[in-house]
Amino acid sequence: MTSNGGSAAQPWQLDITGASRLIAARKLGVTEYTRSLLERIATTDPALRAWQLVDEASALAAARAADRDITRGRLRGPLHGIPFGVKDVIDTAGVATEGGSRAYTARIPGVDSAVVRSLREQGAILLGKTVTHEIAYGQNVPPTQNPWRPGRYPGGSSAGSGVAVAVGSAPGCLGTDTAGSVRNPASVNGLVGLRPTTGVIDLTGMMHLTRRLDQIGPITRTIEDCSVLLDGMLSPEGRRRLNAAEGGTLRIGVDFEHWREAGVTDQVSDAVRLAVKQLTETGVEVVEVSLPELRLGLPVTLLFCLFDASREHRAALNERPDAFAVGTRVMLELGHLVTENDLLLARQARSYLRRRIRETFLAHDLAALVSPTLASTPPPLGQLAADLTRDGAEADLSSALVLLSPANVCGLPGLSVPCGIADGMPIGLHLLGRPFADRTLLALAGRFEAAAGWRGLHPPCWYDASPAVDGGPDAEQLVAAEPLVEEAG
Amino acid sequence: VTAHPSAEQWAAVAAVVGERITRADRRALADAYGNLARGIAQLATVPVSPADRAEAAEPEFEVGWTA
Repeated sequence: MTSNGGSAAQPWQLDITGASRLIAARKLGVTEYTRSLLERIATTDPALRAWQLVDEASALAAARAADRDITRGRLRGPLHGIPFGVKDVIDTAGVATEGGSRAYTARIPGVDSAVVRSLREQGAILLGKTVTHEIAYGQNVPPTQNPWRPGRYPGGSSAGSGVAVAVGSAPGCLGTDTAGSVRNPASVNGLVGLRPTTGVIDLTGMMHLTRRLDQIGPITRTIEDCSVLLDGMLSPEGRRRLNAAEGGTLRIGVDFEHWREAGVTDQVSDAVRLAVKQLTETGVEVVEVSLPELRLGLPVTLLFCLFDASREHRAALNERPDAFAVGTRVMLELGHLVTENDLLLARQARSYLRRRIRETFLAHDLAALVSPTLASTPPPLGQLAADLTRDGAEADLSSALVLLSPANVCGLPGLSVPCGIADGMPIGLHLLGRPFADRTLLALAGRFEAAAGWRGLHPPCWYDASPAVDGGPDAEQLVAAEPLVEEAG
Repeated sequence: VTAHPSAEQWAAVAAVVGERITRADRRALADAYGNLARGIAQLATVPVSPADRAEAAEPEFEVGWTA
């Protein structure tokens, strides 16, 4: 096989669209591709622990079936023969879905979740389940390591999905995003992550925290891959809604005061300001806006999570309380201290926040509101407190939610795309969009990706086995790129 | 802000998780509640409009917005 660039390469290094083209042209066998990814998992996962479970036999059987179909001329589309991973809170028929929790040990669903069923019907191949924080609550410390710098925060709660895609053990994975848990691991692993508009994905078969905020989203290495995987995940009604959405303007808003309130560090701010400048060079207009109401996203998220998660997991809490990590158990119990009146305050604040975001978007004719995905580069794991009830001003998980939670609270699409490197760690640019304008966000991010040169960003271990195949920067170029970010300030 | 759950709130937890709450997690819960109470106090100051109140009273949150 030859790579996209013509040099020798391993199949595991292919992105979704590159592999899809080769499969369609019958230059890459699905079984060959799947075996390469399984070997990549065997090589990387003992150290990085991205995978909770790998279903090798079923994946190879599905790959052989896909090869037979394609040989007979029955190519189903761009996802036919593309392997993928699924966060361990999304049901897979006959394959354990335990939510990363001893409280759900040996929970084996009888049927696929709607989104997995949709992808399998299009010929995609399930490799296995990826590691999650327990029930996606972010209170425990999973074994997953950040491949950019082991010992640093690998993202959460879809940590395994992010790391698997970053190291090339899957070309794309599904994560869940209740308060940023797709975009956050995408950012810290140098990837693209999308939280689609609420309602466009059928969430049947998802282990929920709160149905008011939960969403399933794709994590990939490129914008083009994200678009292809999203298309395969949409419900019929979701596809109709996205197709009916307006194309949007080429104007984005920035609220620098919100960045400051969220504790954005100088190096992250510099990288994202440079990204905004690069966007303007592609014809995008930037408008400064003031939306102090964005700070409401965090307390609303916490109240919804606490109240609803305590009810979603009530049976397990009653029957197996000691099977939960202590932090998770306390949060589930804390939810019962939240009153109906507290919940009403949160619902009213959600309506107010959405109204203020809508008014700002309409007043300035915005396609997106832009910010860093996270306020800082990932801290060492030992320094990361897990207390979600703090106010976001400290280096804990709540600070990671300040910039991302408004999308979930208001049901809006949010997307993270790589935009720089600092301290040897990737930085993400976040775009918050209008409802159902997910494709507008992808187009804007694609414009940035093409202009900025961060496509195909890889952690150092990518280069251990063989050279990059997709034209992304090699290790020497990455080192050379770092001062560019630092000089921007 | 120092806040403590009321007797009614403790009773609501105890009704679900039983006596275990008084042994294992009561202190951790009280600490976390103190932090959470700051967020609740912040929400209580939001200048919601009558339209916001009406929307929040609806059983379902409808995604999207109209110009």
